[in-house]
Amino acid sequence: MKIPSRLPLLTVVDRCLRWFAQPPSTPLSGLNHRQPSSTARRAGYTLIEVLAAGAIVSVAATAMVSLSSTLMLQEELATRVAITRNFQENMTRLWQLGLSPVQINSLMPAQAQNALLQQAVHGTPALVETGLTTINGVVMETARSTAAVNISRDPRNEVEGASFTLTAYRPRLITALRPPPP
Amino acid sequence: MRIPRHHHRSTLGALMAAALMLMIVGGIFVSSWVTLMSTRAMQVSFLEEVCKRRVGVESSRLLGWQLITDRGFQRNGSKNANEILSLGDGLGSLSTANGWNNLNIYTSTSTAGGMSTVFPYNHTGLRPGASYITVEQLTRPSYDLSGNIDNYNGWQFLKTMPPVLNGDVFCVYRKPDGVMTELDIYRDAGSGSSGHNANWTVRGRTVVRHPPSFFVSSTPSPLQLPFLTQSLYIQSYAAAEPPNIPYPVYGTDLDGDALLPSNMPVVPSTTGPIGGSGDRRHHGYLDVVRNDDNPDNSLWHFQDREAAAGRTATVTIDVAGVFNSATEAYWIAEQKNPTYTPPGWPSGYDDKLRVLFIKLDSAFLKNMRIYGVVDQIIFVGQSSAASFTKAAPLKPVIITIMPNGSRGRWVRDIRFERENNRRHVLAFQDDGGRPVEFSWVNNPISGNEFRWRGVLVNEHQSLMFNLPSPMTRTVRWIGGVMTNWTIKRRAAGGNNPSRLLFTSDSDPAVPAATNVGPAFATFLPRDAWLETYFLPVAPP
Repeated sequence: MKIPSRLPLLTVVDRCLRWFAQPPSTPLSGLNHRQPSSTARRAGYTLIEVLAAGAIVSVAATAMVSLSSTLMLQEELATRVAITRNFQENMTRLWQLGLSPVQINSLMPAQAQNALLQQAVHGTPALVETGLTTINGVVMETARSTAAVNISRDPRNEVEGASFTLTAYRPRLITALRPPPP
Repeated sequence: MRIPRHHHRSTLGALMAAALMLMIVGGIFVSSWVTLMSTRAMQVSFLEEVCKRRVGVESSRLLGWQLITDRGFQRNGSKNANEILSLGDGLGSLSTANGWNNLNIYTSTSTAGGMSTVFPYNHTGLRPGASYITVEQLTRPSYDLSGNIDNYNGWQFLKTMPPVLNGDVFCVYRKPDGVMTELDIYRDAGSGSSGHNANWTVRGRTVVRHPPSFFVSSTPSPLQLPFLTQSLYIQSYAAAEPPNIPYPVYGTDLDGDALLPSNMPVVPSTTGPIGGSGDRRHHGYLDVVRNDDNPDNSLWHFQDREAAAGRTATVTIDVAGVFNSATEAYWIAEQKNPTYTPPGWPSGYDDKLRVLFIKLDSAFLKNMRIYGVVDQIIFVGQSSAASFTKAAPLKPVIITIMPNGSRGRWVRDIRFERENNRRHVLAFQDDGGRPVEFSWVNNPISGNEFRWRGVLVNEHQSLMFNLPSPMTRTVRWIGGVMTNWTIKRRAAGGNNPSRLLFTSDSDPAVPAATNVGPAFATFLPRDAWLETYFLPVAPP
């Protein structure tokens, strides 16, 4: 097929294909016993070349498998980090809305009943109220929520990964308005 | 067989090309995957920072909320400009921007309706609501200060409005301090003239500020308020308290079915400073009849304001004895044989009943401060449809009724004669929760309904509604109620809730007219609350 000259990209591809179609510089031995030896040598690859190419492909494949494995592990950890931090942030935001730690524990999904949470979070995330802070005469309540990621590959054992703490504030009035139980 | 040379070369070349193409495609695929995974990993690595910033911005907003609720609802409060409040490095902060000077939201007269409006909302994105608005700005400090998190430009809308003009027809506040008995608007106690119940109908919203005020050891829990109401709002964080709700309260809708409170989200509101301390400002107290700590939201001081402005003088009734005649706007009579015999008469009274008459449709009627030197007040209403219509645009008056000294004699009997269409504020203040009997006398202008326009404010007085006889007659109180103590209905009038209606001043059944003088809202106590909005530009 003639490639129209107005398509330069196709022209380049066509030239490449034509170049690949050139006879190899090294003959392929045993392809045709009846051909002259010089012609046979030019048509094939040597064993060394094939082995070298195979080795390169093997190394590349191994590297790719290893990279894939690492990336999959990284992806799994990233998922766990995302789950843990999301859980932790929601706990903190509920506290800022005015709920107490007991109420928050009641509202958040129970780890014991959620396989995904069990797998992702190490231990139990904790929200601890740390008292009052006065900022230029304005009194705020403060709390810290801490959670760690489970980095274990074994679902039967947890291994503590990176721990992260969020510090949050909320108005004191929220607690002041809540009547004590009878 | 001999392979043609050109055919052999083409086969090998095509194979090689295909292999190389496959490698290129594979390489691109692997590269994309690696890039995708790296991006995902980077995204997750930023997640912690994102969480921290989100919580920090919320902390900044809440710091602003507490700052304004602390300082914005004070009387004549001020705050320096560009004052920086920092929660800590990377945890949140804000600046007071231009600050404020002598801020007094209770005298604000600007409304959302005054903003530039783009139908159906103004361009700030806020729907114009029925409230007076004062706006203050809080911003993020300049970026090199610690505590800075993200852009913060919060517009603090300090809103005020008389609740009874805002659909809150029956507002029940926190009971006075130190009172051990319950705020009773729910018990069915006894029968006959001494019994009382809580069967009426609220054509509007019932607002409960402090559910614990209802509860003593004998109070049923959960407590159902027996009177019928269109909706119920409970301002209490307890209502959102799982798993157990202390002081649970629910209502009864207009069909008699159980009505859950529509109270999420809960916005704390206040009638102003209480007892000179800002700490209890948002605790649901009602202190508006005479509050020297917040004269800008006090009926007593409204009377002074009106007198100082030369609009309406104030009359003080603190001396007993015959005064004026029946041709005046008010007069005092002494009756040995009372026109309307109060309950228990003559036991507990002197040999004559001191009666104060107040003619509500008189253009000469002034604001009044009445002490317990009289035994009975007869509010004389209008006797014809024409006078009823004519009374609607008259200037509103404020009538405060208090005991004669601490725990002294108090006005025990109130009579509403015929019907009334003049706006007025009828405010009671007692220090002992003693009973006052309300009764309707004479005849309605037409039909069987006594229509009475007025706002009832009650601080620590037990108000007992005696419904007129015969049983076919009904009472329509037009204007709303603000109370922090017991309001009941005498059992002799039966328990039909449709015999006693509470409706708003804008009740379509009794059309109102624009009154002469300042707007009626300026004669009424206001509630105040805060709303925060993040807006790109200053609200107009």
